Amino acid sequence: MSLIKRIRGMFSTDLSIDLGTANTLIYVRGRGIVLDEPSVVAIRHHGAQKSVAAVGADAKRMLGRTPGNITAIRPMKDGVIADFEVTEKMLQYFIKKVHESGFFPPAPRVLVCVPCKSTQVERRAIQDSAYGAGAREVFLIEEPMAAAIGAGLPVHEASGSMVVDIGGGTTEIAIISLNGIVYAESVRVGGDRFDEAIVSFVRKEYGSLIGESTAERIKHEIGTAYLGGEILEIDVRGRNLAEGVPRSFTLNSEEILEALKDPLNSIVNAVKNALEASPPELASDIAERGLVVTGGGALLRDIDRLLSEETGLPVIVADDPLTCVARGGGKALELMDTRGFDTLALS
Amino acid sequence: MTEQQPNLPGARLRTERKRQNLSEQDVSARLHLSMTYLKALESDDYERLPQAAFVKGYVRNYARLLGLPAEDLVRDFQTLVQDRGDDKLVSPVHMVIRERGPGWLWPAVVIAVAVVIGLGWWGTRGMGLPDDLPGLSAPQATLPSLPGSADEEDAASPASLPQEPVNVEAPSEALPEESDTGAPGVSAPDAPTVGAPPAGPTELAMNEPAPLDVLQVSFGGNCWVQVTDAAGEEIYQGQQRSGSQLALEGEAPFRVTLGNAAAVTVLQFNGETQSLPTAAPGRVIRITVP
Repeated sequence: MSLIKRIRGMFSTDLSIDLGTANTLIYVRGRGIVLDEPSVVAIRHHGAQKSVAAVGADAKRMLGRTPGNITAIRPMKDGVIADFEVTEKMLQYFIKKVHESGFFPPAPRVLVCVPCKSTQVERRAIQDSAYGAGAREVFLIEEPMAAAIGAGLPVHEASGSMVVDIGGGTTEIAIISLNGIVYAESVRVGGDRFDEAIVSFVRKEYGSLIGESTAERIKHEIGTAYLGGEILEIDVRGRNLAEGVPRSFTLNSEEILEALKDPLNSIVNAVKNALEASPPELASDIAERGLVVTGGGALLRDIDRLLSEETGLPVIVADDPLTCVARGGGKALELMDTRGFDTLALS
Repeated sequence: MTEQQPNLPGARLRTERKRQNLSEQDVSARLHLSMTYLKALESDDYERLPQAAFVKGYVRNYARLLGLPAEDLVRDFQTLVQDRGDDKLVSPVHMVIRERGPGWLWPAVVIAVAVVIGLGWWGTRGMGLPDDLPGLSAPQATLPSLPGSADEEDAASPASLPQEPVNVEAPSEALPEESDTGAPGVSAPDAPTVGAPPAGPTELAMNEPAPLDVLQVSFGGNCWVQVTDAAGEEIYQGQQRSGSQLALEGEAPFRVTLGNAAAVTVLQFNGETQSLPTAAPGRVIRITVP
């Protein structure tokens, strides 16, 4: 078995997978980001039998719009696996998609990013599902470490770097020095929580029900984390709860800021806690250079401004923040090859 | 110095700040950036600033504060840094189309090596087999020659008549008596010139390869093919595309290895269509023709 896998491995490339709650990204050495798809799987039921109807972007379009025999599932929740089998199927599909040569089923070496506060059981589940998807070897790396490497921070230096990775399910905050995590905090607040906050705000203020996809669109288009920029507006349609019919109404940035206040506060508090808990030398490094925001949440307008005003530190949004973790994982794979496996990875 | 080079991002930021009547202190307070870093940034002195990842952020934030096109300035900075070779550009998100070459090449090379090793092993082990079975190979040789001689050998050989006896003799090296009776009687042009009866069979054995067997294969898809002749020598090895036809001449029986057997539409031996075992796409099969 292992021999066959090893032979198949000769035809597979090393992958770094950012198995996120919202999106899964795959980075291939020497080729860059080759896959960026929503972590959504659509399952079709034939009686007791189940089959995969669609994965990724196709499946995301089905979210909330499926007939009875199809269910669109997001198998990851809060950064960890919520549905083991579906995650395995999704990984299998994605791994196959990046290896299009039909000769052998791929058996790549895979590095998967995990939330830093995930439990052993959750890590084991991610590892097992990657093995189940055909991986030959699986390494795990903590997400903020990968994010910091991907953002180009000097993680190997004896100076503190702070990274705030706002993902779909969790926000990971870490202070890194000498290739190690000095302090890490993970709050289960992220893009999903922003969407939920918008949904409940609209229900409360407008008595209308909107779907998560609509909430996400509102967030992308007019969402803001700090008042001071221009005020944008958006027309949305939702089902009026009292009348039971779809109604159109207009939302503006200020209202969305109001809706996002609670989840944003949790992030700000977690960042402040991290700064409080950091050793003084590292805190002074961070105060001098600032902290770096990565992940999809970094795309929320003025999130850097909010963190900067709240902490009094320079705050920087990394280049291409959505792909930082996957790119960092790819760099970590290269580092592991040149410097040995125990430099960065967990197992 | 920096004023003369308006392309430098720091200089552009300073000019714009002065134009908007903002002091360094104002900007430092708004960006929460230390005065040392701000001064270094405005004078484009990147040695005194931290890593490029941070500086890009400072430039972006500063430009946004002043209402300058942030991404332009960041790009300017990035080209500067690239010139210094400090930092690699962040590769943008893009889908990469898989290069088809190496993906096909590797498995093909491995299979070719495996086949060569396998044939070598089979050859050394099964050397004695053909000698033991002269009776079995004889009908195989004659059978295809009947329909085949009609159309295939018209152009190749002087007369269709001599083909039959020669083909019968082909497997009968072990029986010189039989070939004696056949050779002088029918293959008139060759035997008389040789004259001496003992030399007859050996001469004939040399001439036997002349009427070569023809193998034709048509492909409906991409397929890797290897063909070896009766002597175990490889007469063809390579990749065939969809719609192509492969015609090979050599001494039967041919050992044919097909990398993707399902892609083969027709396999003819001396004009006669041979049946292929049904195979799933991508499956490798090895057959001996005839």
